[in-house]
Amino acid sequence: MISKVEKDYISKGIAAGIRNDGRGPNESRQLELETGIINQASGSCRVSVRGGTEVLVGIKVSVGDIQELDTRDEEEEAMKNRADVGRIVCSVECSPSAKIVLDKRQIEEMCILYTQILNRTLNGPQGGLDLYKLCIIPGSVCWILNIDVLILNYGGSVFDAIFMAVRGAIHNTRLAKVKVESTDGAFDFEVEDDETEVLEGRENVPVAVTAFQIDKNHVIDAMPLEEQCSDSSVSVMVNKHGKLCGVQKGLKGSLETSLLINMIQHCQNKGQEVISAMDSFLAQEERRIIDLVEPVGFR
Amino acid sequence: MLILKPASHADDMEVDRKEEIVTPGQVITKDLAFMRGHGTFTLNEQLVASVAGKIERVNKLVSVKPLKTRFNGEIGDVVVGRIAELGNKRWRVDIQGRQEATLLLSSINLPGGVQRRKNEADEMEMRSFFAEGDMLSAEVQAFFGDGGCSLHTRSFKYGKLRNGCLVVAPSALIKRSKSHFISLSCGVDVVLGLNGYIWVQKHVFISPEMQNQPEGLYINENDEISMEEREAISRVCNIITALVNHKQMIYETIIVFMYENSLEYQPVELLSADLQKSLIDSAISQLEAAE
Amino acid sequence: MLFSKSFIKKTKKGSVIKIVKEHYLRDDIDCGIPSCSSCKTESQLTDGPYIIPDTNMLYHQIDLMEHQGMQNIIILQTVLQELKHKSLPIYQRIRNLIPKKQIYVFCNEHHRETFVKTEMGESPNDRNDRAIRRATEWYVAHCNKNNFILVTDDRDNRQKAIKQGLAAKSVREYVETLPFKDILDLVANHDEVLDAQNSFTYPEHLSQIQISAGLKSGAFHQGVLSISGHNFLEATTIIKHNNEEKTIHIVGREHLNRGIQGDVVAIQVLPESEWKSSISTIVEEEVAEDLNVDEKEKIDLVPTGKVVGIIKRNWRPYCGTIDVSSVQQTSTLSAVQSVFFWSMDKRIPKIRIKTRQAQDLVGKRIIVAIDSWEKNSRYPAGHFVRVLGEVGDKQTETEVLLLEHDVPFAPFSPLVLSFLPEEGENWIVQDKHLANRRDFRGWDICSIDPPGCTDIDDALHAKLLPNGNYQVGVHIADVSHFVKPENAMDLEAQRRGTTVYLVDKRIDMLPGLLGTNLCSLRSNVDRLAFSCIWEITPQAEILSCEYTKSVIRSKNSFTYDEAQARLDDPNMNDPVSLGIKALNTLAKQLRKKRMEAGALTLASPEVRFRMENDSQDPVDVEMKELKDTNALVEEFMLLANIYVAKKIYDTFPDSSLLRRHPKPPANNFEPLIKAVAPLGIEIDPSTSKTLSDSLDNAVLPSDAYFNKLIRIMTTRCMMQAVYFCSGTLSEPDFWHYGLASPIYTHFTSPIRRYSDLQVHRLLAACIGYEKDYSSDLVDKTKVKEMCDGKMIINLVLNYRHRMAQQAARSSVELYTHLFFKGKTLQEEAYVIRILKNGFVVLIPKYGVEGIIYSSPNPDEPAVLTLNAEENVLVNGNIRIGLFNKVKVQITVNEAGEAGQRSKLCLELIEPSIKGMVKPAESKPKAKKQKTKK
Repeated sequence: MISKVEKDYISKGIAAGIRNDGRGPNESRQLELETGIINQASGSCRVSVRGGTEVLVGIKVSVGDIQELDTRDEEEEAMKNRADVGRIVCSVECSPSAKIVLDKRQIEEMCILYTQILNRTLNGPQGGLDLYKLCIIPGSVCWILNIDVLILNYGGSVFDAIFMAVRGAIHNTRLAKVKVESTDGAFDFEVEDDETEVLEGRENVPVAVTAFQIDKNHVIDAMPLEEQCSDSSVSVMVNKHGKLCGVQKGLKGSLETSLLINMIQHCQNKGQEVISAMDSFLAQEERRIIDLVEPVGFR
Repeated sequence: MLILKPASHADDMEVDRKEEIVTPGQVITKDLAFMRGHGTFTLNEQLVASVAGKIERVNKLVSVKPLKTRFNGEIGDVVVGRIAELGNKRWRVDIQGRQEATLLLSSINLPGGVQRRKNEADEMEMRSFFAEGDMLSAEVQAFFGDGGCSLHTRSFKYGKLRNGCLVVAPSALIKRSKSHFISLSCGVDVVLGLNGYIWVQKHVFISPEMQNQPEGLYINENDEISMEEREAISRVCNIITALVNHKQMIYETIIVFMYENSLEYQPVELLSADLQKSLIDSAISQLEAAE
Repeated sequence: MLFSKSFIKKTKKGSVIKIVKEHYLRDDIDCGIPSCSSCKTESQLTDGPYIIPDTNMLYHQIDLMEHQGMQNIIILQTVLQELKHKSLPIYQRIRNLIPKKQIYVFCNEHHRETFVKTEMGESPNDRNDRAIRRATEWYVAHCNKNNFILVTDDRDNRQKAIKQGLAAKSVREYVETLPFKDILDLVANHDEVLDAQNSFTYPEHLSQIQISAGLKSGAFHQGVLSISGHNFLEATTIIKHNNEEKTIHIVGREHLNRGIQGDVVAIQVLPESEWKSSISTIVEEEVAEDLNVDEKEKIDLVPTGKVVGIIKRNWRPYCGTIDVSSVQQTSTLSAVQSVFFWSMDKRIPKIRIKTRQAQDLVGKRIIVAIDSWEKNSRYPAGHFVRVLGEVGDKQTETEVLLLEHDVPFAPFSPLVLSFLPEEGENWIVQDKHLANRRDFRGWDICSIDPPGCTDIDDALHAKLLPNGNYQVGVHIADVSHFVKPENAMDLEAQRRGTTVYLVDKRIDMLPGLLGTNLCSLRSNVDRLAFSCIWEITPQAEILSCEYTKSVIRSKNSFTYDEAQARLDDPNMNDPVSLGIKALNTLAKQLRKKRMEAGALTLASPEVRFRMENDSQDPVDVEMKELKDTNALVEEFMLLANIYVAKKIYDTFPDSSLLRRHPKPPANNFEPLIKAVAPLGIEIDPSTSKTLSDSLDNAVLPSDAYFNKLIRIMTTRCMMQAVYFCSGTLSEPDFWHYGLASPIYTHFTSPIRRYSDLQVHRLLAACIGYEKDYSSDLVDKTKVKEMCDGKMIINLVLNYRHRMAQQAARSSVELYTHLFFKGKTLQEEAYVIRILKNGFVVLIPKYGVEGIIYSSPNPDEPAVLTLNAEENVLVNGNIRIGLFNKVKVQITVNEAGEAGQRSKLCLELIEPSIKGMVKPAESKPKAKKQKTKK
């Protein structure tokens, strides 16, 4: 809910280059990122943005049959026919205690939408991860990464935070080493006790940057009121090498092509920045984990 | 800042601890002489706290003021609210409380004079006064039987808010003071709603003539706001956010101190956690020095 | 302080899960050292050097640990936990030792200062070793004295410990410092000196993952190795292939690949081109080379396979003797020698042990345990455990027998005896016992049992009713009144499973007070019973049946002969005698009906020994004879068992304890059918009826014993009857082949069989006698466990039953040998099996079997040669085939003399063939010294 005067204030401000909290249209808020906070998961990450958004991602690995895939997506159908890849299953959920101004149905739709985008983006070469390495026994057994996202609090720019947390969790995930033995054509495998292997290709996982269009301008890392001023948004998934891994248009309005291209460009550039900042931070996190320093966890 | 002291057994008759925090179920006193106020109840002839908060004692009345609660208004409180929906000759206003507040059509100032009888045309035109989503400042006039409050904007102080933006704070952090309409030197006005909604706007000078201009009450457009004014507004917004993040009480003096201390920085920089902390610390020390 | 440990595990279904465990640390765990001032816990430790063993030491050196010289041991929690995972039985033994010795268990995993966190990339073994070193270090610092010794055979661990400044010794080094003479012998061998002939290697065993992959794909099969009694280089195993049970043969040292009797192994079936013939060879002792299969003989091929890996070892301590030929005469008494050990169980190969007392041990029965069997060692390596006694001494031999058959024979503990009735011998039936019981004390009940029987389980009666029918009652001792479920006496009885009858001894399942007195249905005294009462027409049609608990007073306890006398005497018309006569008539008719239905009458070469009064030496041997009264009792016992089975199954279809006899697979009979075909006799095993009829017709007019012989051979083709839980099988599988009954159980002997006691409890619940019965009674899993157990094959009815039977047979064998000792007798015998290098005969008079070799003198060529097609052994015109009657001379070869097991030595007298009989002077005494292998 937003009043006309607030909308006017915000859009004029953005046109002048200054937002409600003084940021420029391209500036994002400070955020905290922590990995390895859930012991039971093989990988986990928490991202909280100063301004309210808090997202928790946990990754649990399991082994499963390659044939068993129940998807409605055609692209995933294509992946399914490959007998030598592992797979990623995502799910996005909103905690009931999150402060969201949307009603229940809208929240559910939002979660379903995010789930689909995550599934689509990660289950394929554009997702960065080497899915072939997740195969244990070709044709029968593979690793399955179950990525579960929990939105703890809503303060705008949730989708970006989700993707960042997913990337952080993937970086943090460790698999157990698998030894495969074959006898007369039959295969069996054993797992080691400890999880020591990193996921191949984790540095190529993209991040998402969402730009909300307000009149003729757009803002990145929008706050809830700004989101309500906007008619359409574009989420761009971009990876370390600057390649576009996915694009999603949101909200109900229409966009002019030139504006769209502009927004995508900006998001791409912003994405690169985010990734480089993240990578150095994730390296720090790894060192912290090796040094067995306890994370802060939840406050 | 809240200082937590270890609670000792409340065996004594006196409840004379200045800053005692209790948890639900904790015994406050065994003395039956005290009257129980809000946030307490009797159990086995003992006075027990029902919420987590600070003990307040006024003579024989003991009550517990909760640390975190939804807005509980008193009559005469200044609140800032957002119109949620239109009802039958009334508006429902979201004030971050347990229930939405009610603003009766008869409680607002109508254009065309102070006293005017409401006619049916007014009813149809309710949206021209306040539409859904509009921000307004009002005063709590009365309470309904079910606990919901009834607001009124029958003074020129109150009415539709524009030329600014909203900051949300927990209602417990808003300190009660004489005036909730603050005018800062930088040309920024702040409306400290006791319910936690704080409206920061460009200072608008209201001349006495305008007070009699009823049409100006419900203008739905902003005035021209310059870049510097926007910057000032964003600075104040960030200061208030800083106070909220550090669970500091919000009132005029501290805002002023912090504003002055923050002038050397850009508004954007004020978003960083470290800077916020240092500003608050210096403001607090200034306050303590001033006392 | 709280830690959380996490690790990955693969579940049985094949999915991988992460397990996170919380681990807490404390400050208040005491060290257990008595002189320590800060720790107050009382422990059994005394002063002096303490040793801290590692897991492998406890695992491999368990016999050493039980020695009284090993004291002042600190067992760390880390070590105990690792041991539990490695081997549960050894863990249990250590647990049992702890209260009896000076041992203290220190919880180092929970003590803050000794807890060790796994480093990145550290294997669990390394981490545990580090934990042990850390704990030792802590002890030294805590008590400020360096008298803690870390004992481990892991050189790496020792070196690291020494570097840390700790005292560390290998097992041998430590044990050498102890002042006990024989203790060094108990140290198990590990870093073994390889065989002199290093060229010999067994194929490598596959790893567990490869085995499980193979099992899944069907390339391998799992089975329990069953070594042939005649040839320890041949084995069979039963595998499940296409839902059918098939027998696979494994022949030869290489194919056996270090599998030992009872091991669970992974088998790979060889291609048909490599299948061996079913005629096998006898190999009793060491043979220079493995006997090669003659490639040309491709007759009677049976599925053959080889062992590719061991899934579970089922080693146990073995009784036996030292091979004298492997002992070197040395002058130094305490020199360590490597000698060979022969187990009593012929199916176990020679075991190599190291001992200092080699010369003392010759001629004694000892116990040895196997440690390992490396692939480049021809024989398994083991260590000495203890001495039992002199060879040939009856007590020692009986103890050996009981140990080898895992029969618990220790006296009943005071705890068990505490559950006997307080009144003891003075217990009598009182009015309070009459509640819910019928009073049959006025009835003419009698019991018929073998002479000298003191535990009388059953009694019978028959009464003519006014309507012309008979009321027949079978009364069984009411043991369940005295033995309540789950008390110590019940658990001990369950553990024993059955009473074991040896020739001279009886190992009771229940304490004597019950078995021979209070439960036993003695005559002229009131006793509690569980009765089955039928109304039967004179034509032996059963009209009705009821079950009730009762009180009886038996009028007579007859022997079979006494009862037979009453039966035969037409002048005896007292109620009891009339009853016996009536029972006899009915029994005959019932038997006829059973035979028509297809019940089998088989035979066993059982004999009975007559003892000299004082010396307990057998004086003569008699064959057991069946009289009418035997059959009488048998018929009614069978009837009772069948009816009770039906009743309990009706009420408890899921958890009834029943007994079944599976139909033998057709190929079991093939050798027999082929052998009798030339004599013009047909055996049809398709149903028990056809088999029964075939057996009845298998008569040779020239030889009366022939039919009995055929029956004995048929008995060997049968499967074992087993107990089972009704909920685990479908009704068609309940069939008892031998009795031709659709359902059967054991009900009539609760004093000597635990299964009967369980059935009593079930029946009591059926008739509503026991209002609240234990839920275990109806728990399907509990009953199944009682029958067959889980992975550990102990404490189970079927196992105990089998073992008791084998123990009884071994006892008979023992006495047979004692009987023949010093005598030379000539008797008739029948050929029952033809082998490549000899034949097996059965001597009916004594009921013993023996082997006659084709070449009695190993240095000379074979006197008999095998004609494989006709399955006969020939020498010139003389042919020896199956079921031929021959005459043999019997002598006994003492054990311990030539280092071999005691066995019967047979020589062929008739038909007389030169070379088959040794000249009179050379008695088979000390054989040539064999070269050590």
